Amino acid sequence: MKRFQYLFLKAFLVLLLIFAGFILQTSIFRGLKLAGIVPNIMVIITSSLGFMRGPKTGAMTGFFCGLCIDTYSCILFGSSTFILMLLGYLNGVFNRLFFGESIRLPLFMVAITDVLYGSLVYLTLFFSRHRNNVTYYLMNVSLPEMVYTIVVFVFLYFFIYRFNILLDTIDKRSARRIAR
Amino acid sequence: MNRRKGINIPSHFVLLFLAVICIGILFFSYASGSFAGPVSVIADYVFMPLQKGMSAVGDKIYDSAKEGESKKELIAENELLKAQVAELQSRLTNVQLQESELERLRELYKLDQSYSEYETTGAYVVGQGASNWFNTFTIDKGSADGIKKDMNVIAGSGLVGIIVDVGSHYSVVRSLINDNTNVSAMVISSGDNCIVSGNLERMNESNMIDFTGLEDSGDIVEEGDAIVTSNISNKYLKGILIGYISKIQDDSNDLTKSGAITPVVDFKHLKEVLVILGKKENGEVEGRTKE
Repeated sequence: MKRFQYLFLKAFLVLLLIFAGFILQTSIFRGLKLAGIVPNIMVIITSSLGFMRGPKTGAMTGFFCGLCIDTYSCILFGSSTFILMLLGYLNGVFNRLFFGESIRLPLFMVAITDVLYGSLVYLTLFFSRHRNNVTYYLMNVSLPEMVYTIVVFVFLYFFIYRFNILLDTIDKRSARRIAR
Repeated sequence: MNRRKGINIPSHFVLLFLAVICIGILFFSYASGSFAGPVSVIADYVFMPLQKGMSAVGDKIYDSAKEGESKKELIAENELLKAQVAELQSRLTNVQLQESELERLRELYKLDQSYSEYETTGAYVVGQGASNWFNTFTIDKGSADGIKKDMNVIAGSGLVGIIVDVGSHYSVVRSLINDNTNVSAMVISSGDNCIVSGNLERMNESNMIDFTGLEDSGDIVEEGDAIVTSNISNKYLKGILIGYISKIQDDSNDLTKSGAITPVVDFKHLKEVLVILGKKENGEVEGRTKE
């Protein structure tokens, strides 16, 4: 039974992080828009948690991040959920490469994930409606968002890294309890 | 460290499970047309209260950035003047609309109301949609305040958008400039109908939105003409100002015209909006109007 309590604690913490990120993205960054572009905190959280903790956490984090995005959007409910869930899982696959010392690899992963997210949204929701100007959307929406997201990620990385360590500590404690 | 000790379900089962749920949600929302569902409870009790406070901070940041350029009084005065201009503009369009309608249609039917006569309720914009691809935002009033899906949202002088999703204390507004918005509209000068649709690309480049399929058989529509929502739209109330034509050109079929409209609403700095409490359903205006 104890094991589930630890699991719930972790899930609760991750949910808190997602909510905080979402509120940050939809409210404060309203005032920090650069050329009409807002950084994608949901992608940062999905990607970094997936990358740091493996495919299962990644997929679930992506799922809830996507749900948040879908609540406040006007398109088909569930589209962002699906896309972010897949991306979280993909990031988790690269979990083995993560050692935590260097920011270069996480930075790279977040950048790739953000561009992939943009491309998937474009393909499913824009290209299907005959908005065919691929280069325009890439150069004016996807790439600026990626650059801005990376800049924000540099500031957030330390915090998320600490958060991951906190989750690891909970893991260790739970393992000790079970072993006993 | 051993991360896998927690649960022993293989990760691809988790992926499969979540994928099935996602596809389920997609089908459900496609079939029912409703969006949020149970998540709206979280939005009501977690996001809204926090966002109200945080948005104020966001606005402060924006304002202080603005202050660097000019004095606060100037901003206030500018805002006041803008509001005045907006009000006058809306009055002008009203008069224009009523005049042209009166001339041609007085005998045919009675023009009994324009949008300034509808009962409205004010609401603050508290959050924007979490995406750079779509232009939606949330306001701080919901079904508890009498707001329903498909109600029209205006700000100052013109149309802002339409309510697409309602929680008990918040609602989601899809704005006019959003990429998949289509509004049936009418040019005041000629009375011809056209379709106004948001376009992310054009909006980014020149702050304009598209219109298409304008017949204009008399060839009298020109740049600067006002475009309002038409009476044949089944969701938008008639006579709400959308914007002014900035560009007009013949289509390749030589029958219709298309071009670009500059919307009257400043979508970048929306802070307060008005929701019209009368709703149009199947062409019939239902709900309360002011006497």
